[in-house]
Parts: sequence; structure tokens; C-alpha cells
Amino acid sequence: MVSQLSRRDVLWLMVAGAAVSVLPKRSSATLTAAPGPRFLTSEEFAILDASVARIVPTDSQPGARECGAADYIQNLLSFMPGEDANCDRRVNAADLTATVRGAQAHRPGCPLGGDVDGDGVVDAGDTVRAVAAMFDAHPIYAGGPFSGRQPQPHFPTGTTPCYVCHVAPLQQTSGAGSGAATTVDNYPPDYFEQFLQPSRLQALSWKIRILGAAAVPEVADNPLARQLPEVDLRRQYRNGLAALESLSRAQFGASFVALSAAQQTTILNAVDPAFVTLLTGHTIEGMLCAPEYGGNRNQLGWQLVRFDGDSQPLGYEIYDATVPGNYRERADKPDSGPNPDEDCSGFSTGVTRFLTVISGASLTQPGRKFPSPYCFGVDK
Amino acid sequence: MSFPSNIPGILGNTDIARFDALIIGSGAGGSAAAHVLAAAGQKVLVLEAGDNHFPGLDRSGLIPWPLYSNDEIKMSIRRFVFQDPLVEPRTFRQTENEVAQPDPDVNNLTRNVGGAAVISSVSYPRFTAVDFRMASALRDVGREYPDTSFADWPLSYDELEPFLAETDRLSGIAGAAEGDAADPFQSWRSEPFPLPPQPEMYVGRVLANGARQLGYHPFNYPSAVATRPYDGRSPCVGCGLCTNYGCARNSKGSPAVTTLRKALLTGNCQLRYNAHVSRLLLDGERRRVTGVEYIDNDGQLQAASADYCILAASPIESVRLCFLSDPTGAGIGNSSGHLGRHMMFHFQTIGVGIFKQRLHGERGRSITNGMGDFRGITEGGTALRPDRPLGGVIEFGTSSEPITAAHDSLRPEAVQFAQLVGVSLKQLLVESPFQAHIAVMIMHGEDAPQPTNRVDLDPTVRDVFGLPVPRLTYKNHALELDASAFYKPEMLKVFEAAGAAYGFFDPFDPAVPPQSRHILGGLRMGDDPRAAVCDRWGKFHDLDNLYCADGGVFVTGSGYNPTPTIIALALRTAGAIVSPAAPERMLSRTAHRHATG
Repeated sequence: MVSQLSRRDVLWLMVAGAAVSVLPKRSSATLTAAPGPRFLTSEEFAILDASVARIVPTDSQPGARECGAADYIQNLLSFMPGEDANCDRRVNAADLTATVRGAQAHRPGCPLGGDVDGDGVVDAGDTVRAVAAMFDAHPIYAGGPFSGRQPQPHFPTGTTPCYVCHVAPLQQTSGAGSGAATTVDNYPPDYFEQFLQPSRLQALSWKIRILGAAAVPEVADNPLARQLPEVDLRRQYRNGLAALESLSRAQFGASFVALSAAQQTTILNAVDPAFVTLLTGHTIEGMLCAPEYGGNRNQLGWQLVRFDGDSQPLGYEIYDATVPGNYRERADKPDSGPNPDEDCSGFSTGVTRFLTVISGASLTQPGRKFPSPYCFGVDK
Repeated sequence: MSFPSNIPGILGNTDIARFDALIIGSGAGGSAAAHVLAAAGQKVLVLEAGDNHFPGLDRSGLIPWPLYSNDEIKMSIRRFVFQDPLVEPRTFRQTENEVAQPDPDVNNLTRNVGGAAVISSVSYPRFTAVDFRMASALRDVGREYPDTSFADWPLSYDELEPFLAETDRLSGIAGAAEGDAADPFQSWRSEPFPLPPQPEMYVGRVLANGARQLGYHPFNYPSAVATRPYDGRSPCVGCGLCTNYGCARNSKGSPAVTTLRKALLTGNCQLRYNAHVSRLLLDGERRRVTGVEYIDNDGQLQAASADYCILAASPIESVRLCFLSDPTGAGIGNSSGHLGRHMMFHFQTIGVGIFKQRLHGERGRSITNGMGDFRGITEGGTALRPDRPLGGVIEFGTSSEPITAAHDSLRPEAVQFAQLVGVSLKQLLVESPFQAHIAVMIMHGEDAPQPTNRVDLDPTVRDVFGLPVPRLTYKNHALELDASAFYKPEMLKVFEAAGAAYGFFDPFDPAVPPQSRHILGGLRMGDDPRAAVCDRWGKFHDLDNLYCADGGVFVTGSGYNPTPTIIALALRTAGAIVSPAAPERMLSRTAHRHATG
């Protein structure tokens, strides 16, 4: 079973000299999903999960908990870069092969080469280190260009060559060479999960974000490394979650996770607002991110806001040289006109009030609520 | 010859023994210069401070897929390519009397192979004829603005036009030269656009409809996003996540996949990325640049040399290098005292319209429609209109990014209002007024040049390399503030005519540095060495072999997106280096048309 593939199995496959291609197609998803060391303890994680569920609660529709927003935050705090042994920018199974074979060891300009642990020789120790790094790593930057959630566009046979299908290797069941790309089996692989090795500056920056400016002496003369709200995240979360818990116990005599919704709201309103702002921002990210980052489970967050997510390589405009303007639209999701199911229902009373206040709120920058707003399409 | 490169950190020919040209920066200007020079047989070294997200860009055949993706966390939230204030801070103040404070919004450009155009909307309209003689044009209508430094450019639109036409062909610009979809305020063109106009987005059509009802002239926005297969690039599929995103399928005609790639494929060009230039090296008489020092991705100091050097690091960074390279602190090339001065940013007036219906900005391109009626110029772009202030072009845009839109709902003032009226965050997320229902009009207003708006080095703040950082001193002039105030009520009328339910404006805060990514000036060009840093060809007056090929040389800022003008000027500067008598002879008019590789 692919989903049961373990570190030991991968190691064995690699040591046995197996090429990457023998790995089952979805293997790298299994690898990145496998849990490595996590920063938050299970107690802290429970408080985190309860607080994101209070910030965007579950009602008739899913909330932050169902979306896995806490997993997203845990991943962020547990960030550890992988080892890009073959210097191709992507952290994936090919790095293990490179390490085992030592094939890249003497590649000029690739400082890591096969010598992942930096002891001067390429040996089994490097393989162990590379496997561990790959399992334990969490992406800061997912790879590209495609996630495999959308297919290649379908081009009518005989009219238009597929201008992207042949750029990178893809499995095609039939029609190769005829210019016809079928929609069957025409999904690209998930490149998102082959996350990217950060550059030296990016790695330093994320060290400041996760561990704080004290961990990076090079930025001693940059006040921003201590001032910006997104730095020193581990300490902010450890202290912030501890504050939620201690205030809950002091005020209500119980753990935050055991409080009623109203009590939890009271606590969230009473702690440092800077932490709640940080947490709220990350909660939204955890609901609406690409699922490769650990949140937006089953794309529930995208469904909640009616967002289709990453739409490449299909997109919303079908290139077709046979029609005027060279493009056709998707009937279900038109680009140039209103949705077929547009009901013009507008906004709820609450959001209407909110927009009324916002649009006229600033005395120096007056806006307007227009007298008779209407809903319409635009004729072609 | 070792080409293409097999060495991490290098693209192109890795086996060039000595270089004729050294170009600092691989953005719009640097890549255009590299293209002309490498095609002419010059050996070119390009040093890029950022990383490369186009693996295999130096391989012939079809353009390989990049590492960019429709990933909002990567591109917009974790700012994959943006200059990072934690390791590279910049400081800001409004006037000379203040102590500048570090500010993450100064120089909000990117660090990557191909430069900021890679993640821009590649909206590529041209400047108009009057932009090159703005001081005269203001005199013609009897307007005077104290404390400004308006001047005519040392070249005319007509002189630049062949290079603009080449820019159109190289970038593959889609647009309408004539008819209802064309901008009546654009200046003459020697050729039509190489690609047919963009398919229009719903939000663009809705706003254009409103503008037309009021007698304005909305047009199909010129854009370097491919509308058919062009020069090895695939046609855009309208994926929606466009501005802030590198194109996942190379449909954007960014410098990386156009000019830079052509330069790399000649075998005459080598590009080193993650190579952060820290200073220029000069000869004893300080008339010639002999080479540069740079810091590589391992943090090691390296050196490179060439016969001549082209600064194309973007204005703020190019000015900074001039100051960093002079131990006296005066700055090289600064006998005029104008180094770093006359900095300009387009003054953005951002109007927001909220519609009852969903406008689904997450489908389609970035900007497909706009209007030039608020630029304040006559048809054909030849003079100023006496009855309208000098504003800017308006882009009809929207939001395509759900997380960014939701973060906007979290601004302190918005949270305050939401609590006031009892709206939950979840309601705002689900109904997404700032995402699915939003239409935006951005006016890129002309920013008056002022000698007091300048860049120099901050006395205390250092970056991760231990180098002094740029300090921006900047304050808006009444010219752009008054124009913004004049056009705001007119913008609200467009929203109303278009059918919006609400219309309002992003508040302006002078304590925040300019948000526009159109950063211009600081290395102003002019014929008088006492009043300008560079001459009419982009060569430094004070040095024999140093040139500038980025937006630093701009004399005035215009009110249109500047990138095609940056590219055209860079093509001209490079053409003049290899063919001083006739730079336009370096333009290869058809070599790349309909090419498949």
C-alpha cells in the first residue's frame, strides 16, 4: 500500500539502487504528509485547535477546525528545510537517489553534493540524514508550476496543437504526436508537494521568523528583525497559548479547551490583541492555503468562499484559433460575464450595514452608497 | 564552450574567459541590454541579486516550466520573490529634519531572475509624445509648480518609437491600435500591436460599460500576456492569479522568457544569480569602472570584471550602489549633486466599488480594460488639456486573492467597524465583499519630480551583508494630491454608472512610503552635466564606461506603466554602445517573430 510506505521502505528502495521511477506515483505525497518532529506539544495543539475553531466557528458550514487550520500553523512552526542534495531546487525523492549514488558529489557549485551531513565523505550516513530531512521537512515554499488538481486544457483534435502539453513530460494515453491532448489521464503531477529549497537569504529570513532575531547575528543592525509582527513565531505562539490557558484557569477554573463558546470569546478578547491578530491571520491562511501546506483540508476552505483554488493549467479561457478572438469560455465558469446561477441576492443585513459604514467611514476620503444599486450582466 | 550551464547558480555559457559587458540586474532594463549586446557578439556577464525560478532557461527548444505557481501562500503571503525587510531593510522619512525609520514598504520590488516584471501584470502601455516634453507642455498651458523640477527629456517620442516597436515585438504585446477598443490618447505607432487584444474580464467590461455611459473612452489594455502562441510562449488561459504571480506557463512576456532568454541562447551571455553586488571598483583616476565585488549564495565575497558596466538594479538600488562605491560618501557620478534626487512614484488613487453580483475576479487575466480620460492629455497624446489636471491612466482591476482579501478585512479599522455592526469574520469570508464582489480603479497619477525627494544611505541601519541601506526621503507635491482630489468624484460616478452598490477610496497616508511599484528617477538623464547624472544615451556624464539602463534615468514619470519605456531605453543604450552612429541598426526586426523556440 502506497499510504503505508515508511521511512524504512524508502531507505530500502534507495539502498537497493532502485530508480526513483519505481516509486509509486503518489509516493512523495506520502512522504511530505508523514509527521516529523512537531513544535507544539499535544496540549498546546489542542488549545490552538480550540482557538482557531472559535475565531472561525463551525455552523451549518465548516469552520477553521474542519479545514485543519491548526495543522497549517503547526507545520509553519515546525519548519525545517530539507536537503536539496542534487541542487535542482526541489526537495524530492531524486535527492535521495543523488545521495545514495553520490552522483552529484563532485558537481561544481553544488556545495551539498551527496555529502549531506558535511563530514567529507559520501556514505550511508548521508542517506540516513537525507531521508530524515525529507520526512521531517515542512514546506515554506511549495513547488510549481502545477498541483495536479486541474487537467491540461482540452484542445479539439486537429485544430490546435497543445502548446503546453509537450513542454514537460506528461503521461498521455493516446494521440501523442497527433496534437490531440485528451482530458483522460491528462492531469500533471503535483509539483506543489515537491517543495523548494530556500536560498540563503530566504533561509535566514525564515530563521528570524520562526526563531527570532537573536538566532541570526547578521541582522543586529536591523530593528525590523525585532519589531515586525511576523518574527519570533515560536515564542509568540508558546507564550500566547500559555496566556490563553492560564487566563482560562484563573477566570473560569478550567482549560481553554473545556470552556463554552462564550467563555472562549471572553478569553480571546482579554489576552494580548497582537497575538489574536497574528492567530487570526494564520487561521485564514490555514483555511484558504493550498492543501500541501497542511490546511484547507479536502479544499473545504476554498468551497466555503466559493474559490476554485489554483486553476492552472486548465484556467478559464480555452485557446482555440478557430473562433473569433481566439478564445472560448467555460460555460460553467464564464470569464467575461455573470455566473449562470447568479441570483443577485447581494449581502446579508449585517454585511450591508458593514459596507455602509466602511464606504462612508472616513471623513477625509468620503465614499458613497449609491441610491439604486442594481444587478446585471453585460451584453457581449 | 560549456553551454548550457550545468553549474548551480549560473545560467548560460559557463566558459567565457573575459567579459566585455557587466550588467547589474536581470530585470526589464538589464535583460534588454543583455539581449542587444549578446546578439552583437559582446561577451556579457549579468549579476542578479535574486534567485532563479526558471530552471533550464538557457536550454534551447521549448521554454521549460518555471517554479512559479498559483499559490497565494508562496507568492503573496510568504513573499517568495519580494525584497525581504528582515534581511534587507530600507528606511523612510518625509523630510530632511526627521530620523528615517526602517519601513518594510520602501522599494517593494522583487529579487529574482527577470526582475519585478516577472510577477507584474505586464500591463505595457506606452508613454505618449507629450511625456517627453512635459516642462514645455506645462508652459504651453501656463501652469507653474513651485519646488518641482520638471524638465524635457533629452530625446523625443519619435526618436524612441523604433525601440518601442521593438519592445512590442520582443515582449509580444497584445492590444488594439485602432477602433473602439483602442486608446484615443495613445501616440502614433509605426506598426500595429503584434498580438490581438486580450479577451475581456467581466469586471473590466462592467467598469468599461459605466465609463462609456459617461462619455469616456475605455480601451483594451495593452499587455504582454500572450493571446496566441508567440515566440515559444503558450497562450494565456486566464488562470486568475496573475499580478504578484510568475506565470506558471510562461504566457507573460516577462524579461526572463523574452530578452534574457534570447541573450542566454546566443552563447555569449552568462548569468550568475544569488549574486549581490556590494560595490563597483574604479580605476585610479576614478573615470572607469574596472569591475565589481559581489556576495554569492554562500556568503562569500567574489569579484568580476569587464570593459564596461551597466547599472540596471532598479533606481533605488542603482543609486545605492553609486554611494556604496565611493569611500568619500559623495557618490560616484555625482559631480552634479543630482545623484539620488528627483525620485518619482506614480501617485496611486485606488477607488473601490462593491457590486451586488459576483464579479469573479479570480477568473481571467489581471488587467484587461482601462481608460486614459483622466490623464489630462489631448487625443494622440501630443499636448496637455487646459481643462483637466495632469492625472494618470486608470486600470480596471479586481481582487483574485482570497487570503489577501480576507487579511484586508482584518485591518484594525475594518475589525472595529465589523464589531460595531455585529458582523463575524466568517460572514465576511463567506460573503466575501472584498473578494468576489469587488471592482477596483487604480489611477497611476503623474508624480511631480522634486529635487528634495531623494535616496541616499542610512547612517545607522545595516542589511544582512553589513552594508548601509538606502534611505528614502519623500513627500508628495500638491500637483498629484490636487489631481487625485479632482478625479475622485469622477471615479465615483463611473462606479455608480457601472452599477456598483458602494464606492469609496483606499485612504492616503503620507506617513507611509509610496506603494506604487513604478519607481523612477534618481539617475536623471540630460544633456547638461551640471543638471543630470546620465547623458541622453544613459552613460554617466562623470565616467567613461558606466551606463544606467533602468528607470533611474527617467526625467519625468508620466502617468502610464513604465516598463516598456524602460525596455526601449535600455535597447537604445545598448545599441549605442555597439553601434554609436546608428543604434537602431541593432534592432533585429523579424528574427524572433513566429519563432517556435
